[in-house]
Amino acid sequence: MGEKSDIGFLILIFSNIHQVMRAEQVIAGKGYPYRIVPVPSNLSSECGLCIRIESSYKDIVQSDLKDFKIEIHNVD
Amino acid sequence: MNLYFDNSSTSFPKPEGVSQSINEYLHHGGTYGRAAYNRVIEVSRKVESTRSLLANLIGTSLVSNVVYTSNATHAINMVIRGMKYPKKRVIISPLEHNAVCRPLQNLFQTSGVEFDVFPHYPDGRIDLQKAGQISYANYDLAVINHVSNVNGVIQPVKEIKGMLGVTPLLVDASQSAGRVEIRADEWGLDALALTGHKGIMGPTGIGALFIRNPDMTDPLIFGGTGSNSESYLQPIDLPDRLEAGTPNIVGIYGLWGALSSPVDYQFKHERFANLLQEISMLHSFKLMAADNPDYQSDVFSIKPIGMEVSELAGILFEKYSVETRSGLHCAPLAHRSLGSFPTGTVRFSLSKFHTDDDLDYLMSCLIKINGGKI
Repeated sequence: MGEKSDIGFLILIFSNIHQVMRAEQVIAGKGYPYRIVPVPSNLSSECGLCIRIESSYKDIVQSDLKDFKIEIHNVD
Repeated sequence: MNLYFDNSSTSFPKPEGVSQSINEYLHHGGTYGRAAYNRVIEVSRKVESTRSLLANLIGTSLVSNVVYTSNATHAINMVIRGMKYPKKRVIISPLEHNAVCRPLQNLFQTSGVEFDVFPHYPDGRIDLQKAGQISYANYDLAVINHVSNVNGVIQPVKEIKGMLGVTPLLVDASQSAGRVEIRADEWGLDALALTGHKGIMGPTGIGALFIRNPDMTDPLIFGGTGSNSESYLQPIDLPDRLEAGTPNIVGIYGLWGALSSPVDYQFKHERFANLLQEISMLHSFKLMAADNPDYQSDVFSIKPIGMEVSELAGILFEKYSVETRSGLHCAPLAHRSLGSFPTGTVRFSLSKFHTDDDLDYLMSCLIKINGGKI
């Protein structure tokens, strides 16, 4: 998906699967590189999905997804 | 020739896309959320794209407020049994189905909540002038059957909501979804229950509830949602608040197949209007339909004169292969309101797949049963 190994990533955690899928539509529609991954257990006991995206997209993701309730975590 | 006239019970045939989509899922597998491998992600996307199609069908931008249920009865129960009733009073249309009347009767028995019936015309259509004189502040809830499953009358939902003010309105769209226009946001609907297997022409076992304010009702079912899993409390966000447990994914795929392959009416509206006109002239039957054709959907009943309804339905099937449903159609209140209780009627409910030729054949059968004369 065009990710660079020398940059950090964001983990976007949503309140439910419905929100993940809706956010994915927005992100995919904009053409940003992303992956859907399991929620990292060190961040949440959540058993579902979250979105991983390059840290450089932080500002535009926050803008594009301003209507979503998101927890944003920086990861390596 | 399509001689199945029982589409208000369940639609048949289905659009091709329904079986194709179900087949795709059965070969593909996977659940909704809970994990992050491709099989699950694909299913989750489909579940959510179907939710968006449903929201579009009923005219709401509040996609998250559309929750999956097993059918309209389930959705109606979620509202009626999940609400609080400080005023202990509900008002309903005269054409309600037992999906509404039975939960209300249960409420009466358990909590003393009573219901009144909207003033109406002889065909069951709500009399807006008289209804406009009611003080709705005395009611906790109003329930309207959008399209009658007995005579096909379309209720003026938008106008009724306009009269109710802040009193919430639950619309039973079991017969209207997929058949009649619904504008949930424009009309200000508070809740709407639908099923996937009638007018939408999807499979059985899948339906939906639209609820504008989720605090209007408490969940009936609690359980896993794949979200907020560390907590024993049900999530507060929709749809999870009202969607515990793995959904009917097979049904949702079928629903997607139906919603993404819309079917145009294959019979002409004029032919249907003429059919009703012609049936009204047959002396052996009493037509039960809307008095004003503008409020008629493609469902109607006839009450045979000098013959039991079961006998007429039997003749139609045995001699002419025409499939109908006779009796009370799980809507005793509707039949009481229309004067056809307790015998009921023989109901004819059309499909978009019917053609003018099918309607011509049906008419020819009724003429023969009428003694060969109009």
